[in-house]
Amino acid sequence: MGKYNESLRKRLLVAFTAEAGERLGNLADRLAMATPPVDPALLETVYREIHSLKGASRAVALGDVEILCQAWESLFARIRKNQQEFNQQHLELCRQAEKMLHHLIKHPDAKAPDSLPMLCIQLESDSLATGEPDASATFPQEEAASDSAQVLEDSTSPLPPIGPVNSKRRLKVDVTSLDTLLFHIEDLQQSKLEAVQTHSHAEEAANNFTEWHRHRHNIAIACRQIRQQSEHLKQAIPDEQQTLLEFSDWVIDYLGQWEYRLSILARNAEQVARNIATASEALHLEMQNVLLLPCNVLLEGIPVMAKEIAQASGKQINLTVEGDSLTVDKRILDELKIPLQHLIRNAIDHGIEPPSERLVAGKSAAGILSIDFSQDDASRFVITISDDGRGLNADKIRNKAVEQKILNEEDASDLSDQEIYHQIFNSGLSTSSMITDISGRGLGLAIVRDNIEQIGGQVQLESTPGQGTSFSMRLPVSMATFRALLVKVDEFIMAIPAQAVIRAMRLPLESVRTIENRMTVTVADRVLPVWRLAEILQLDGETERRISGTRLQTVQLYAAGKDFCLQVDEIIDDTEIILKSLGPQLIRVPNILGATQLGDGRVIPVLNPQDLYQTACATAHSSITMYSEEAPGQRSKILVAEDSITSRGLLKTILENAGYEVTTANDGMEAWSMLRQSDFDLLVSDIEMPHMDGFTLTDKVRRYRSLSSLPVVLVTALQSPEDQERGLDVGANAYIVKSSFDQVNLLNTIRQLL
Amino acid sequence: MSSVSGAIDWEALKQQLRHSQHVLSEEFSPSPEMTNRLLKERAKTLATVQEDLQERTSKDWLLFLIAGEVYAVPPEYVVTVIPARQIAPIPCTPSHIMGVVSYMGRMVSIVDLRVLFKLPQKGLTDRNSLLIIAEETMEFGLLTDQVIGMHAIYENDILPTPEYLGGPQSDYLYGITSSQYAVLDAARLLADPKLIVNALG
Repeated sequence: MGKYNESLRKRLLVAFTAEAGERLGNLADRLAMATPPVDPALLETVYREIHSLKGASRAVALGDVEILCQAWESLFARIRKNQQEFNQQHLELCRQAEKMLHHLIKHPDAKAPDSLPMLCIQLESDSLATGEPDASATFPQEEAASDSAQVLEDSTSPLPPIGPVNSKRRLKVDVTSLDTLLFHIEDLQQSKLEAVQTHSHAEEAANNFTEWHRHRHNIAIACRQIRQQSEHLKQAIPDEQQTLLEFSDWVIDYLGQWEYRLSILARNAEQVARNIATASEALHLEMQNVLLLPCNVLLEGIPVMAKEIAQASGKQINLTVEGDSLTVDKRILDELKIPLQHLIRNAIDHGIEPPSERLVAGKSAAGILSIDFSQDDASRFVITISDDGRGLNADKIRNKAVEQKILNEEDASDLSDQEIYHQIFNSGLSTSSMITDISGRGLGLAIVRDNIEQIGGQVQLESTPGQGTSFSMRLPVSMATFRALLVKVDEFIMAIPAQAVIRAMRLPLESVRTIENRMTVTVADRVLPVWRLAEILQLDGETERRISGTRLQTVQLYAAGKDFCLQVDEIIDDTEIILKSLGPQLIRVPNILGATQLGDGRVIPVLNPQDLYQTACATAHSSITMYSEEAPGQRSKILVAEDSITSRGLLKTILENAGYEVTTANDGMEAWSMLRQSDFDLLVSDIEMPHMDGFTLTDKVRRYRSLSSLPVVLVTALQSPEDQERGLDVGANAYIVKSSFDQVNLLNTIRQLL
Repeated sequence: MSSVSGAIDWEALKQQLRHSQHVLSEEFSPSPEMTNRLLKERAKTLATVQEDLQERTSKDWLLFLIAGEVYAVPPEYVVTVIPARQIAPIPCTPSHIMGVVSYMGRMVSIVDLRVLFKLPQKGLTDRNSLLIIAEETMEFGLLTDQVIGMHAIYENDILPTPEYLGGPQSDYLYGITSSQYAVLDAARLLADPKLIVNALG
């Protein structure tokens, strides 16, 4: 029985510690932020929390906690009874009591510190107070307790028994099971894609029977003829033929059944795919909502921390918080904890001046440190951490940056103060003593920026000498709203975080200049460096370094405080991604931020724009020769739009043999989308095609600005003069009739047009 | 009964039977000393068997193939086995990192032991599987040619890696079995800082 009680107590104790931890965390933060005159609502809260804790501690037989709570309660009871002001001393006592309580709860089975009885006496007697002798202070403890309970009940505002009442019912869930749930939901999305794949495979298999239908027809006729012949000649069918006939009958029957089964399978697969899609999307959406938490969870412990740092460095601060009810994805908030702590520590340690210095500068003795949350737009929010301290010292940073050879003297003096301030994020710089002077946090600020960029955010910094510094972090509200540009490089698809992308440009080759062996391009009157992404990432290997077409696909980025361009092979899409780390083995890979899974299940790397810039600067100059002139024998790219497999294959062979690079499209619609996605030098199109015919396609090409000058050759079986006229009407450059269609004619025409 | 050609030699058979009966009756009416001796002997044999069993405790290991060689890993380190599909290559990683796969919503890096052990490489087939191994803080997958399955290996069958096998893999080997299975030291593999990529920016 004793054992049972002991284990019960242990279990209760665990529950109590969790409950008390939460109550105290909240309490400590609010006490730390409070200054007299104290908000009566806060007093109510403190009082209520102590009362609840007292009851709970009795249940788990934590005598010391109970005694302390009782003494603490009596302080409040007395203040109320005598309608005293809650002064600085009271606040200090409360803070001490909170610390003691924290200690007692953390070490429930250890002996209470010797200072406990003294603190209790102070609390009960309000020993620092000078008011008339307090009756309740002399009361035995039991009565003091009942007295305070009385006060609680008598209090004019009826208090809810535990915690604030929320009209919405909320449930506490273990974070790890929430994470697991999230993984499962993401896995389900993968299953959805696989189900879609299975459906299309099944459908394809079922459709492949078309070919069989033709054979079946011929076989059935042949069988019938053999049988009729033998009947007609009144001759028995030879055994071998009989075997073949029977086999044919069986095959026709058997494959018939299979065709039916496959069509059923395809239909079922479609249904399954649709069901999974519905479930997966609903779950995903709901999960996004479940994961939204108010920003105030991020602030837990921050006020206490701030107070302690301030005390340790002999400073005074006033911490204010605005807009912390804003709800944000839990995963974002999780990642923000450390950066926020860094910034708060920096602000107090190095931003805010000691009281004497502040008074001289005409400021209040206590520095103002504020944390503001605000919604930026539908998908983003901003946290601003600002202090009214001394601000950054641009000259000091400038000198150190030069000293550390991060900037040369000229650059350093050319840069504006704001630009110089951003150097403090430079990890190369911050390891140096210089950052120790300014922030004292070594790698701190570099880590802050890394963390923020990892979750798709940006850090901005503003500072005015003598007036303070303010860091703003602009972040996505949800993990799903991380936008990225998908690019193709050397057959690899990669994502570039959209927040770093200024624009995507197709530049004419002529616009690329070479200055001191480096490629540059002029965009909006600014000269920007251009690097080949494949080269920065060292993807080239043995692959051919060839640029086809006359234009260069580039992406202009802004990262690490610099504008620059990257040449990529192709821009695929602009999409939303969920950034994931690469796992514990790949802690930090140069140039790679993480990976993501696309809607079709493919996993692709996500690039780190800041690293790319640094790697690019370190890489020897780009191989310019390939851009400076058109490589000899460069092949023109031709798109062939043709619905017939035979004609398509024929055209492809003819053109490829003639040295062209050929891409094919199955109909006008497909050709139209391909034309807009990549560069072609010429279009060869059939006229009669499903979805979009050659006339319409030509017409669209002519009306589309960047394609309007693309040579179009129509190849067709239609040979009426009207059709030919119509073809030329819509803007085709040549019209070749299939009946007169011979290689030489076609190739000559194309050669003329290119 | 070596001869099958002739008829059965009934006389010889009967004689054999008689002899057997005699021997049996002798054996089953042993003297007290003989009984004692026999029992002691049996007890000894039993005891030896017991001892032998104790020595030969076995453990299940997960076997897999890489470049024709059989490797064994302790199953307690194995998270799962999944088909080797959609491994995304990650640029700027060392050659022993094949890339990453998505598993249970997280990214898991894949180590190509063929590179690490300097074994011949060939393309991926349908049979290639990824064996994800993990301990407390580390997790990665191993590319295998094929996962064979669970197999009991006697503890005393694992011999120390011979000196002449001082190749790159000997660092990660726990030993080699008499049937030439290379027993991997998963803990050492997982804890090796050389396999971790952590480039400072």
